[in-house]
Amino acid sequence: MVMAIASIESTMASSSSSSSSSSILTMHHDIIHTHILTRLDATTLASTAATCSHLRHLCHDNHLWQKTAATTWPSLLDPTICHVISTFPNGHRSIFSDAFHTLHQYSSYSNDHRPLPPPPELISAVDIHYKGKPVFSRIRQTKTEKNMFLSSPLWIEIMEPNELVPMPVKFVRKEEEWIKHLEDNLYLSWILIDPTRKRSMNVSSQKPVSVRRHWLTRDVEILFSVIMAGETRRATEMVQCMVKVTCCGKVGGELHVREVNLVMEDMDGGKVSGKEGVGILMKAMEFGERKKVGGEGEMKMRFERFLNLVRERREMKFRRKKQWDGFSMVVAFVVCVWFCYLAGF
Amino acid sequence: MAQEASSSTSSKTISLKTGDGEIFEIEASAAKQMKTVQRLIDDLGDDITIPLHNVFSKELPKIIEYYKKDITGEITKDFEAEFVKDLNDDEVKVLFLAANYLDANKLFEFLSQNIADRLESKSVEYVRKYFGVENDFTPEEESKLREERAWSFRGIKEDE
Repeated sequence: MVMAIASIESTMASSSSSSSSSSILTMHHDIIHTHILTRLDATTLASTAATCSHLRHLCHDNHLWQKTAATTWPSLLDPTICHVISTFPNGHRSIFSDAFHTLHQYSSYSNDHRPLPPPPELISAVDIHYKGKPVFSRIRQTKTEKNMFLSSPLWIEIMEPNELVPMPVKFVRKEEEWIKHLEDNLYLSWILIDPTRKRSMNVSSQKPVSVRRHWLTRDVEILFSVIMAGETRRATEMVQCMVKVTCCGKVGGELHVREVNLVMEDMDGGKVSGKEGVGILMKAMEFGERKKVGGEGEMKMRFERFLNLVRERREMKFRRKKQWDGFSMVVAFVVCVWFCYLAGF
Repeated sequence: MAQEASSSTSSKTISLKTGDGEIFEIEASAAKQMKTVQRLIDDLGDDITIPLHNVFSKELPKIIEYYKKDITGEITKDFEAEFVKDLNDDEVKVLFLAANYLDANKLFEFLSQNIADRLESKSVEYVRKYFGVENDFTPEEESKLREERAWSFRGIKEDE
């Protein structure tokens, strides 16, 4: 600041006009950059970049975007992720355009576009906020080319086995109120990053779609889900990308996070395989729309609609099976009678 | 008595003359917080009136008020909120420029944050007016920029 001051003193000492009419930009660029731009949040930085070409140039410093990205998602402070994102064409700015809002992808593109080859690796950056403050941040690199991953159901677990992470959330006795409190105050972001294609997306509904206590273990299960299009004319025509946070704790104590995982379910309620799941995710990442969720409770409604769809399909399958069983029994009876007749009974 | 007062630096006052010719008194310990003033005192001595060409009578009293509170160690979040409450955007800008000129670090940092807070979620036009800049983009560039920052919409306040 002292060096900049020396240059300003010489500029300003020569100006005799009242300081109230001078533009803030008569100051050295460093001052604007170091003291004002570094303090702006992402939205304001984006607006400032759109004011004029000079400010746009100042705002295109990746360090500014890196700083505001790390404030929004502390998991992005991780050096590996930082390095990966810096190689993207727009650096940390692209994380905002790709992952600030949840992904929306409703039309299946399988007939319109060639299948995209799977990336060798996907990076997950997970952040949980409680009452607006970050309480949990973790990253996980997943190798997506291994046979084990491709042939098993899609499953990305963020935590280590037997790990417990405390959260500053009190476990209280009055269940309904407490569940509503968690629904209103928890926020989870799961940013999936493809280091090869240099894209990312947010696969979390951001606010919980469901908070419930497990009937046996009494663990708290918090679900965040996004519905997306899969492959047409199959059980994966629509899929649910679900993030499940499992917590345990004692009444009066703090909640501890035990598991944070991502799975994908199809319309039959079954788990989508790693191979198919990654294919669906890649299409969503490339072609999906990113936009702000419309209205309070919209994601919860979509989640419930999907659950109903799964239930209806199950019931229909059950009815069809019953009908088929009934029909087979009738045919078997008729054949039996006919044989008896032929045999001369 | 006068000799005692002048030999005790804690109660010594420095005279500051603004660019529009008005004179204000400030305690030496408060003047120490403004590095530009301190440098001028070191060069010119503490008995003469220190000239401040680029600070004017509108803003200097406010700066003195801040540092008066600072030397008694009483700057709280409430005081800071009250300090800027009745200031409009232009007044804050002027204070910011003056604090920068005076190298008054604490006030400068506080005002930087206040400017950032005032700009938060404001529209592009508002930020343009604030920085006193003109739109020099072509319509094509503007539409490209709008597309690039589409993710940031729906968080912008109306111009005040």
